[in-house]
Amino acid sequence: MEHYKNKGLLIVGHGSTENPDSSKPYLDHAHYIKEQGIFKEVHCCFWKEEPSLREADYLFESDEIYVVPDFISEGYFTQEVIPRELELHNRTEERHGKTYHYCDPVGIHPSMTDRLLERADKDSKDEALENCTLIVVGHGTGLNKNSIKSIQDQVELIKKTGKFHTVLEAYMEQAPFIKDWSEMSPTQTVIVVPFFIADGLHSYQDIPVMLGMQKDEGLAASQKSVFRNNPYYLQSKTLYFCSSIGTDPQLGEVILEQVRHFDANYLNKSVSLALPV
Amino acid sequence: MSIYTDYLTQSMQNGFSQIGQVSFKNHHDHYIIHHQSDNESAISELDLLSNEEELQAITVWGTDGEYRFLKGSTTLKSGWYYIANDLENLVSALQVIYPACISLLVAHDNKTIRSQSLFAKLSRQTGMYGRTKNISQDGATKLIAEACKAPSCDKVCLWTYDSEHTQMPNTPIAPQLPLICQEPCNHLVASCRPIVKQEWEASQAAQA
Repeated sequence: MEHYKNKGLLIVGHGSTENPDSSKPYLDHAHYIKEQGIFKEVHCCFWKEEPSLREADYLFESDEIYVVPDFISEGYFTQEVIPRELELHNRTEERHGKTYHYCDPVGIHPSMTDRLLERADKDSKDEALENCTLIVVGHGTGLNKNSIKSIQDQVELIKKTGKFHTVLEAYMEQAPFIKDWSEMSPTQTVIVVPFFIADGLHSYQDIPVMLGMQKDEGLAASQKSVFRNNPYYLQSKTLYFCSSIGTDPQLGEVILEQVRHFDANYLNKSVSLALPV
Repeated sequence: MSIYTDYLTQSMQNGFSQIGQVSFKNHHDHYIIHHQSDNESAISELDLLSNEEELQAITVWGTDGEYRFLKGSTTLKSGWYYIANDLENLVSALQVIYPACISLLVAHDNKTIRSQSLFAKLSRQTGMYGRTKNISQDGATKLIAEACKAPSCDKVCLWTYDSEHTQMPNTPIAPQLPLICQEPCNHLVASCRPIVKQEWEASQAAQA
């Protein structure tokens, strides 16, 4: 880790102009990494909040900066918006007197499987996991095939562990729909883990409404208690609804894994980001 | 020491002790930060924020009860103070309240800051913001006049609809360091969308 002592780490998040809890996980991940003293500097920047991606340049004294998108999937933001805003065309690029290394997003790293397993195990209290159905739920969109690939990969990896009776993928805006959770689950007990970074409108409001847990209340995430009332008894089943996977401060470890992955696979190689024309 | 702590040291020596709505001062071997409206308050009347997480939390909700997604908003709550143990901690704390504020001032001072006009910013948007580039100059100018001023945001813009600058319009006067806006924020970009829609509907109605 001495290798990073004079380098910077930039964690890129989405942020929100509506949800005050949106940026907290990113700041928590940054804090987790700062505490370890691995990098000279650790900063966050956001698409929708401050500091913006365009202000990120000025935050660092370091000449070499690793950029890790704290996003769940590869897609529009990681392949188009972030490189465009940071003016990156290659995995490693020198600009404005600094060298930037653009890493893969956290959500596609294999170690996310451990985070998912830990979250499901912890939030389902004393349930025997081998009798449970685990549903990993994401946003889903017809616009980008990559947006669900990370969830599909995780579902396959968790299936192989044999820890659960059934492991399923589900989405808000494409089939299989999360609103059909009860019908698709063959077991009495169901655990739902939102595959999002922040507990925002989707995990606190939209998905609970789709699960039938609550009506639309319109409150901020931190003002609700949706994760504190487990289990729920709905549609003749026992349902555990977990907090978003990104709210685990240990996700900082996944960010570090992506930096190491970059060094092992992309450093000193000329790799284009193949941005859309 | 860093370029940021050097800048702040120099600024304090030149009489600067405020940025945005926050006052900062040297006190023995540490630094005290509080809301400028609490300048006359006894420290015992204020709540101590013991770490940067608590400091960050004070920036989330405004005096109007609204979520402060724009940190240049002049709705920062008062009634608190924070102790920074050293200059590095002071820079960090100020940038928790006003992200990148000192970094941008340093870049401005070093003449390395880059600016971008609203039109240039809109021209590179894609996806749901791709159509914002169609906003009229009149519509954009009115939007900027409304959105880019207190209480919404009190930053000093280095840009207009169609021009960009690397110098502030006025030299900062002690004790107030300015908050710099080097290019239009994404909130402003998003705010262009409904205007573009209204302008398009109006043009359609005029043709009908």
